[in-house]
Amino acid sequence: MTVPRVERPGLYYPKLPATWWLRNANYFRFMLRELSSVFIALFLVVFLVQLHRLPQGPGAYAAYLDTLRAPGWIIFHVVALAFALYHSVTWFNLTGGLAVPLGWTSISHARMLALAAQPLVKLYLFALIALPLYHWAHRFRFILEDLGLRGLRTPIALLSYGAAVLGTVATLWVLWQI
Amino acid sequence: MPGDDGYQHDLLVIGGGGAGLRAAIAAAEESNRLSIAVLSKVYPMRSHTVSAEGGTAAVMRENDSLDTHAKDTIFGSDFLADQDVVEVFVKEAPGEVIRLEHWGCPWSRDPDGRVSVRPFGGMTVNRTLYAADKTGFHMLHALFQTSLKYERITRYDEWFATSLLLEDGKVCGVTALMEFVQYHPTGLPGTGILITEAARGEGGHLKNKDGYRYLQDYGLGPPTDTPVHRKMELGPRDILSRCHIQEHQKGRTFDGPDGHYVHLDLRHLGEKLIDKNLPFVRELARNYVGIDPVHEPIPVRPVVHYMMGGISTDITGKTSLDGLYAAGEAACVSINGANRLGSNSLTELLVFGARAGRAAARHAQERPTLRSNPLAQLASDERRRLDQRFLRADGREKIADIREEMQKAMESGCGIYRDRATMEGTCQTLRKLRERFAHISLADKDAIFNTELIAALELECTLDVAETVARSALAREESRGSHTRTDFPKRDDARFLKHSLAYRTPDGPRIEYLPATITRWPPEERKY
Amino acid sequence: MTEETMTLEVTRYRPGHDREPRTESFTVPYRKDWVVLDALNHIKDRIDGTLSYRWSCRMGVCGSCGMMVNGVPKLTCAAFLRDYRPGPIRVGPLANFPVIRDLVIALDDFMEKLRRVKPWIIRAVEKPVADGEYLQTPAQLDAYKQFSMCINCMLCYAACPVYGLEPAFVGPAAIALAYRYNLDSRDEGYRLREPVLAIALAYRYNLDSRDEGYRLREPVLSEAVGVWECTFVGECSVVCPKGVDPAAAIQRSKLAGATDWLLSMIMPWGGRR
Repeated sequence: MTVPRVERPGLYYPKLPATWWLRNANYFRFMLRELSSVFIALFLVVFLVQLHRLPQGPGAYAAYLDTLRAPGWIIFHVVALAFALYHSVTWFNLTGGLAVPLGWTSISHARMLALAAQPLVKLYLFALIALPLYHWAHRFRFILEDLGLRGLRTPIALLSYGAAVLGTVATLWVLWQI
Repeated sequence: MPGDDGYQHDLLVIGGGGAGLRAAIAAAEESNRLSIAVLSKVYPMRSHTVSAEGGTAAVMRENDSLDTHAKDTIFGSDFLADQDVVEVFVKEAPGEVIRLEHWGCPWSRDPDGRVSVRPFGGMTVNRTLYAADKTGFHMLHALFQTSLKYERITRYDEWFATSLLLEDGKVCGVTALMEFVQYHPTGLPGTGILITEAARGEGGHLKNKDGYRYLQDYGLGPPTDTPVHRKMELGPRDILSRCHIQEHQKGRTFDGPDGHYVHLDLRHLGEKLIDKNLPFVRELARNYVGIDPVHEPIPVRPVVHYMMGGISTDITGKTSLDGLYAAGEAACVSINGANRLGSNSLTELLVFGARAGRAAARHAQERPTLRSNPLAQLASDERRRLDQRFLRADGREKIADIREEMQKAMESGCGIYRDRATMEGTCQTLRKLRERFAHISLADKDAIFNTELIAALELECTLDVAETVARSALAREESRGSHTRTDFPKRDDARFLKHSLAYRTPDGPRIEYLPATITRWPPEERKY
Repeated sequence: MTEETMTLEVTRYRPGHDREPRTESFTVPYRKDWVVLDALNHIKDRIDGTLSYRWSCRMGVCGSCGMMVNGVPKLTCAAFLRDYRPGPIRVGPLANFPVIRDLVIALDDFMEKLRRVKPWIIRAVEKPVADGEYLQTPAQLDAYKQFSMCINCMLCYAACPVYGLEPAFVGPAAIALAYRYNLDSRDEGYRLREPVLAIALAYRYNLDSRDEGYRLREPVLSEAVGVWECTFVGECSVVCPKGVDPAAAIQRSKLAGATDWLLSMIMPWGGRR
């Protein structure tokens, strides 16, 4: 509670427990939907690093992609995909981690560099990465609040939106270097 | 400000339903210096106005006239309405419904944006405005939400008025025309939940167990596919209720676990029209009797619906008690006489709520302030009376027992068809129930939210009302409107073109008479 | 032949005597057309006259009888015993509200919020009654009609975890009602409802260097916890017995508020509506 409530004597004031979201299926699904923002944000970081490797040359890029082929990362991508699909089917394309090993699409160094170097594509990539960060920040902030941490509203808001701002700056810096 | 002498206001409105809220707003607009209180035993949006469905009548179209609305109303009342009051009623009705529209009421509309009007029982012309089939709900919410605008209106929600405190002497209040109880012909068996007359206005048919539209046998025909004003299913409620009973006596009604019923058939109207104009009817039928009216007929039977009688007032809402005004179903002005036409009562709330509110406001402005000391004494006397009567330890009667026996006695003696012997029996039963009520026992003695005490107070009032109904009915030796006697089957204008006035005495109500006011419509035979 | 029965486990709370609510079991006859409210009335009439609860129309239009039935907010006049067989049925006071006694909750907070969103037609110039009705086409009526169906039963507040965690939240029904008036073609009061709904306009003035009203708006900002508190759990619309869909009203209000704020930044000279 951010606004202190005046309590009248004699009335019983029930308290909503922090585990309220375990009470029914709809509440639980809501929390899962919110949690999807975390996985999406993590994926964005992975993708950003991938873009960061582009100007570092084909070797560094390939080495990074090799890392992403490890089983743990595949599983991560499957889970992140499930969450993204769960959240919204219209969400941006997350199948990079799965479609590439399956040969559905190509993300070779040459092709990606050619694409990402173009100003309009950079603008698109900026919007693709930076804007969802704010969505994540907003969702993440309310997850913490919905878990009952309402007393820390200001620090939580600063943390979440601050992280999104940092992410935006990082995105700008990475794209600038391509 | 609350203090030892209670809360002080210039004007107190008891009852936060349609009439009460309209009165409070009218008073607030009449004067910006008055402090107005609205006392309601439930939160205002729970008032029973909320359950009205069908519509609100007013002259709105060029093919209509004030005289036609007046004539329909007077005819429907079986000539017991006060015609001077009816003339004022029909004149002020259009302005009131437009005012409510300005206040946000979501009336259903014609394609050109004007408010729509539909046909209704006993009306010669389409003049019933409606908000789908939840007209009372929308009107009440529009009035309540508008009342929130006025800072000088203070509300006391969930306050129950137990007595009127009078500065000088006692008074026996006057109620009028209590014998006229309206049975609405189409309620659901068991729960009694109302299926609005609008279902018939839109074209619904009433059929007996042979699938036959039986109303044509009772002078309401000929049967047509689309509704014709005042004919067949658009006949007045008292006549339709009697037709049902007669069908039952001929063995042509269905029999069910909740008594006899007939069918209200809406299937031919089609799903699209039902969902647009009768969505609530569909919802109620599905929820409470498991029937989808789009595919099956609805079981219906007459149910007690409205009291034509009430606190006797004059044309401004003034009662015989100085400083007391009344409006709405609680009052008897009288525009409804022996039988009310559907959709006139919602209009009555607006017209007479406003008139009574304005009159009361003017009275409050002219009146000197009351001395508070006598009030304090009267208030503590009242508190002691309640403690002694209801919160005593030695009671032995249960509220539910007395209530159920009262209901049985009333259903038998004051139902759709009445006769002397049964009515006398009912009067005696009610006297005995009064005596038993003196020994009422309450399990709940707590001071906070004691709903059992409220139930007991309401039962006491209801017994009073029941006695006035039964005594007035016994005294009226004729049949008129909703009061039908097998021992006096004809209307008797020579003796009874009069209002029955019931006065309280220790031995039960005393009945006196007051002639009905006739202006331009001399009584004639009531044929549809 | 023994009559079939059902058990109700009912929350009791006696102010001044109980520190906390407790549960009491009652056995009632089972009737296939009875609702939970019928069972409660039977308990009060025949078993325990001290049980307190609210009810009125018993046909789902007055909004009095909202309670928790097996943990779900419901109108007890529309909860049929036959759907809960064999039972037992747990009946409790509506969640997220202070309890006055037994199944009766305190509605003062809701009533105050109802008033604060200014749920009446606001116009710069009123039309005289003699000039007739404001014209409103069926399409214009349909635009807000759904949001006018709220019976103020407050099941949505009981379902909303945000309201449970933050009682200052204006809440689904109040926002839906404000939205109903904002959408009504006859109304012009959008600006006046904004401070309570979305506080965006209030912020805009606080940030304006010419303005000195920060102190005056401060109470509204800290109290008026408006549409942006909603995290779109959506349970309010699930439990609404009248299909009002308050969640939709809230999300659409957010969109309207955000768009309006953006436009007022880009085109401060333009007036909306």
